[in-house]
Amino acid sequence: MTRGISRTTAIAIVVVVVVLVVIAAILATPKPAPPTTTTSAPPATSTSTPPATTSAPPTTTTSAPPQKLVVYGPWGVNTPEGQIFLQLIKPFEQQYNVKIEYVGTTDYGTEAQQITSGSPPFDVVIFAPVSLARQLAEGGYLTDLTPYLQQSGIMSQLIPYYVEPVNVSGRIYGVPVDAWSKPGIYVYVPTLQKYGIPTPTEISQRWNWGQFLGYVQELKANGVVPLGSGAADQWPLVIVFEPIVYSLGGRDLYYAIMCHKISYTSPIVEQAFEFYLSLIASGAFGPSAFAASQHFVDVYALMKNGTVAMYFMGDWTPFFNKNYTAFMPVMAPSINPQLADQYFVVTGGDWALVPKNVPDNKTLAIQFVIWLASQDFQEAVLKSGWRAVSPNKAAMQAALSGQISVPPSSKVVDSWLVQFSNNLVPDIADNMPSQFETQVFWPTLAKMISDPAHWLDYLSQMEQLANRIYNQTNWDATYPLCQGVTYTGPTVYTGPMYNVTAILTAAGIPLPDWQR
Amino acid sequence: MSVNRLIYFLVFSVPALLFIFIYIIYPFALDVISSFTDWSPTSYAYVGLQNYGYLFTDPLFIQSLTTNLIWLGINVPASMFLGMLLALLLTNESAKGARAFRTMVFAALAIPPTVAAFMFGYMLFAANTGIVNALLFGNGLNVYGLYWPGLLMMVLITIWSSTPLATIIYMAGIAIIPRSVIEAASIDGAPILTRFARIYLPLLRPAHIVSFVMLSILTLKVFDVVYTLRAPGGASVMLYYMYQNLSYGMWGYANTVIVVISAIVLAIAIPLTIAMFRR
Repeated sequence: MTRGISRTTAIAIVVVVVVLVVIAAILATPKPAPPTTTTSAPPATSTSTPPATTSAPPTTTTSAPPQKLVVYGPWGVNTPEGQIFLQLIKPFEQQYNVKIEYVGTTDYGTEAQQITSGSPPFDVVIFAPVSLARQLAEGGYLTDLTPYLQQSGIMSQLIPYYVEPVNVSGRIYGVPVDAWSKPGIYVYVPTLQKYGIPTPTEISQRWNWGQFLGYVQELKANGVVPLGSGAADQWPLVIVFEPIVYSLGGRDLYYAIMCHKISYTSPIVEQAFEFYLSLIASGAFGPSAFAASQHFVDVYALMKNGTVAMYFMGDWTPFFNKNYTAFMPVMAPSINPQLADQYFVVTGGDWALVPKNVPDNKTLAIQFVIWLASQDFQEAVLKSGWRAVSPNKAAMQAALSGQISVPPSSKVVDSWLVQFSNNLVPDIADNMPSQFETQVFWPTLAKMISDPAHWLDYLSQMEQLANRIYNQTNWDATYPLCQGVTYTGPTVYTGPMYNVTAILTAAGIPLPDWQR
Repeated sequence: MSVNRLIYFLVFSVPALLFIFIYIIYPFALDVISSFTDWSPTSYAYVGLQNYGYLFTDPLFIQSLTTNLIWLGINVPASMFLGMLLALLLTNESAKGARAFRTMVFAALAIPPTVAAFMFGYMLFAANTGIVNALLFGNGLNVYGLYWPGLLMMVLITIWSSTPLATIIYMAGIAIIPRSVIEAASIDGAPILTRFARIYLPLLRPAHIVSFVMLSILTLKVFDVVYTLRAPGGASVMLYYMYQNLSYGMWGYANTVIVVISAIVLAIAIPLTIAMFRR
């Protein structure tokens, strides 16, 4: 024992610490089970009736002190997206005499814990991870917005595709506030024009994989890196993989991979990865160190200075560059000739949720989220170029009919979305179990950029981890998009491979046993 | 213990104990208890040791643990060695510019790890934007895509940022070595290496232990660098793994990771702390 402390004092210290530990253990006993979902009952607040529609007059006079509403969203306050959001919500602040305090964060785990604690610091939270939002809804922590959406008339304006993810047992727990899409490849038009490469925006002009690889070689021969990767952030590589999957095996294969209804070591999945690897092997992304260290936004600067020509990326690209004519979308190349006349658009959204308990004003919070989905706000979003598509049908129709002016790049995406409205698909990775997405799927795509020779090992490891994680999360039974999904399509793709296997062989990348 | 002493004891120790209780014991008790549950937004049910069983067979956790241990194995000895070397140089009063060097060394302590990660990862080692990569490797070093280069880059960042801490500890250790011992050795003509091996190394034992414990804890708690650089080459660590599980709403499982990390930290810290105070 350290000198200077008597035995009695030491015992006293130990006794006090033990008492504190016991108190802590008592205080930290398991919480009661979360409340059951009260889907049919209205929320237990003063909001006993649904709020008025967005066109209703302000509920307070402008001379009264402004009310406060705290909103958490995924866009940083100082980012272009955060800035445009704050600008676009000003009409609501004026109309309803409210001061919105906005906090930008993507720490969804903390936000979810704050909601379950019963005292979140926000009235509204704009959420991207829909599986976590659904868990919160199932746990009974979110306000059932169904009656308010129906009463306001907004429900009939919303495209069901964007509402379905937050539909839990027939009740709606979130409002889609924006929609994004990953329409294919964004090209830097001046670079492609310089080398006489076309920019197809019609299905009849769509490149096939062989033509695409030909343009890759042409650009390389002119000293241009054909494709940006964004591989340091990992997720952009999903945007390369998605069109390969739907072009090879259509919706069936796409959902089968997303829901893990087909093995990563099955031949058709290996073939999908072969197409992905053919880009790496043919040097489409440039040297591996160059490709691996690119962050997603780095690519834009490289495109503008002529280093990189094309980028599999989302419709936020022109907005990030404030250039809606030089950054234009082109359709991703076709692979399976039987699917060449079908085009798929990957699209998703962000949802505004209102916790059951809010710190300030629940009525106002509900009015705000409904206003975000309204035609007025959504048209403002489309006009600003922040988003190319909208979850609001009326806003989309206004954009397509020319009633509102939208940027040229947005118009192309809008036309695809309407033309192929039966072929909208969700993000393949965002709808996998989150831990599989970020810890396995993204890193595997990134590893293949740097170490393509071991791709079969990576697929085998991914298969083992998929089995484990999908079982752990009970994904089959719990995730709505995967319920009832089965794969009955071909196990091997027998159409043209566009020289892909030869490209891999030449680069020293091994083929699977069954293909050797 | 007299009544007066008891009153003194309560007055002086209870505020500190209360602080420890509120900020350490209570949250940790909560972590331990919830590690035996399936706590998520939809459930809070007791599952016994299920989370621990899953954790120790989880390849992603084992990989994160391995990365942490490799990190520990490189960062701690390297930072201790460099810290001791710098402390010896900076406490040498005859060395010119020692004060300026001292300021420079300690400046690294003031730089937040996220900034350091960005600085090293993006400005020095990334292909295309990294000066070191361009000068030494012609932009060919792939630090983001491969495990070992990615891990070594991150370890380098922590060596850079934790060496000053070791330096401070060693400088304090050197300050309490009796000058007479060093002077006697000098007079006896003991060579510098002999002085280092026979005087400094043994007499700096408390400093070795303190820096070992502190650097080990810091290394096991490493998170910012991995988060900023997005675990380059798949080099994830336990805290990053815990954070990811927390983000997915797997709170019971994430707390299991916290308990295991805490157990490892305590397993290192407690015996060494006891050894340090043993006379």
